[in-house]
Amino acid sequence: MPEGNVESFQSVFDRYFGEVYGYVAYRLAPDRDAAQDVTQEVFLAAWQRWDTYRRDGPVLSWLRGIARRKVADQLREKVNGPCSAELTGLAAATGSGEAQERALLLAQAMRLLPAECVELLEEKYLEGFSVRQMAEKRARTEKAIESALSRARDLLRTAFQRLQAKEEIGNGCARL
Amino acid sequence: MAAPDFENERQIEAALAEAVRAHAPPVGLQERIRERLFARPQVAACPDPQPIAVLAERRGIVGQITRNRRFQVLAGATVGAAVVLGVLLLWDGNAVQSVSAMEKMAENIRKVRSARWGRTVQLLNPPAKATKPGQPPAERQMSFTGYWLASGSRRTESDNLPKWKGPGPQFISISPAGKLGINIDHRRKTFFHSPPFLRPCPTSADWRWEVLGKFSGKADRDLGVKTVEGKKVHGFQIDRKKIHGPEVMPGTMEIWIDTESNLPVLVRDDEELPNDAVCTVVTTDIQYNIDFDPKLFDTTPPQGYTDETKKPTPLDEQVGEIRKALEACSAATDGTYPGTIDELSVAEVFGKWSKRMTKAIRPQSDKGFNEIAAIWEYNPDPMYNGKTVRAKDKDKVLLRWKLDDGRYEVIFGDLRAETVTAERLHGLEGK
Repeated sequence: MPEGNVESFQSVFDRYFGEVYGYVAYRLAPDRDAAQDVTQEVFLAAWQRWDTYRRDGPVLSWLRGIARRKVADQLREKVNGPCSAELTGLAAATGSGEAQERALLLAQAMRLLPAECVELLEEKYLEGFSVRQMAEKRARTEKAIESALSRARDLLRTAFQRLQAKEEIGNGCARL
Repeated sequence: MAAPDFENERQIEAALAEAVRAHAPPVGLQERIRERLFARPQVAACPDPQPIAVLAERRGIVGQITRNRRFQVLAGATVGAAVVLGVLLLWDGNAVQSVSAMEKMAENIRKVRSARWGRTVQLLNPPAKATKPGQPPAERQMSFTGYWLASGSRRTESDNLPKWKGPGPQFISISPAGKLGINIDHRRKTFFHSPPFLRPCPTSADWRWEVLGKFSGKADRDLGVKTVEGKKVHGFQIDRKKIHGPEVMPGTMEIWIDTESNLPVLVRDDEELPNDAVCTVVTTDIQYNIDFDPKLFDTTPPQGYTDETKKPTPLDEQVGEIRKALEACSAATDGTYPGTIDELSVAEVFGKWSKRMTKAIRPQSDKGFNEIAAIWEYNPDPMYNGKTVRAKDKDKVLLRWKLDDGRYEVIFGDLRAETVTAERLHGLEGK
């Protein structure tokens, strides 16, 4: 790889490392070891593709796209993830705060959603793309994207609320 | 555990951002991965004598190591200096950062050649007062796409109007710099020409690049960093009067600036209107320095469309309508006028939410307000002094504008009208 490319990739690495790790760790929570391994895989894959990266969009989106795929691979490997009670237990064991508990539930809820829903929700609400941009990218109408987003929001809400109820029942039992 | 129920989009946005933020990388992880990624033992181990290509490659790596070490030394020295500087600046650290980011943004905006953006204007009526219990606040929403050239040319397209099925936007307004503009309605198959555009009316859908480019000063609040449209952006909140000028309606603006290009990625402008109504203008999907197709600024009318260009209103009639509108304001408010052109436009466009300016004023004032708005947008030298001039101020200039013959038309506080020379105006305004 030419020196200039190495330098520019290094600056991308320095700039976005925290955000890529944060994303991977949230999706794989509470498995921190897996998050570290997957983050390394993301940057390795990004570096290997750096010469062919078309630079037709924000670099963070490109990195998140790679991260999303690597996370999906990782989740497929662990078909049966820990149940919410275990997650809560793990969170407590690591001394997490309320924000991390919420993040954990959100991660678990996201895992119950189809991949397309996760991608839509994250593009819109994490990466801040407009419906128009998302429609253009997928060659679909804005209306179609809006209704897909609405379905995805409903699914997320239902999944989150179910997990939350489950967690509350778990906590109640633990107190008995 | 307090948790979001994801009833609105902002909650999802906040929950996702919080989830990512909740996970900071463990200490040393970045360095470990960096080492694994960028170490190149195969090149360093190359035996002498080395081929030229390998030497060059190796020089590159040596250079890289040297730069890294230099960076480490520099970083060490900087940490020491930063501690001292940090103590000195602690009292106003955020403000310092805001000044530099906002001013850098202004500087970069001045260098922009062209821009395209999407704009949503949402008008939300008072949540508590004007809705029935249990119903969400009523709202109106419109969206626009804007095109802008540094030369001053503009094009605005309306999107998603309810009665329009397309294709393309229903309304298109094109104003090439210094030339006659055109406004096309594809639904009604009509068009009308407008004079060369000089300045936007406060309620115009135009993006005011000029004001952001001229900005200097401090933001009021640092909103931190987040991702918008895949870009890392730093947000600042600022009193909208500091951006648009003291005469506009109150409210706040959020400006989210790309940390790489130092140009706005998202701008949210919340304008507080009479009776707790809020007009929120969100500018997003902004693309800079695009080579637009010159056809975008072509003002040739579409074939077969009806020309609805109005002849300029005769001066007498124009003055009559303006006086009628201002008189209605004065009568409804014990001798005062809307303080600014902005308030006046608000009275015109959003008047139905204004108690003072609703029923009493609108029927007899619409034409007059339109005339004032047109003067504001197209006249080369207008002035409006609604804040300081009252109905009792019979010799003070309330409104004036330049006529084609170089003289000025003046409307005084008592709504008397007079055509005066520039010298006479100078004398009047010196009072």
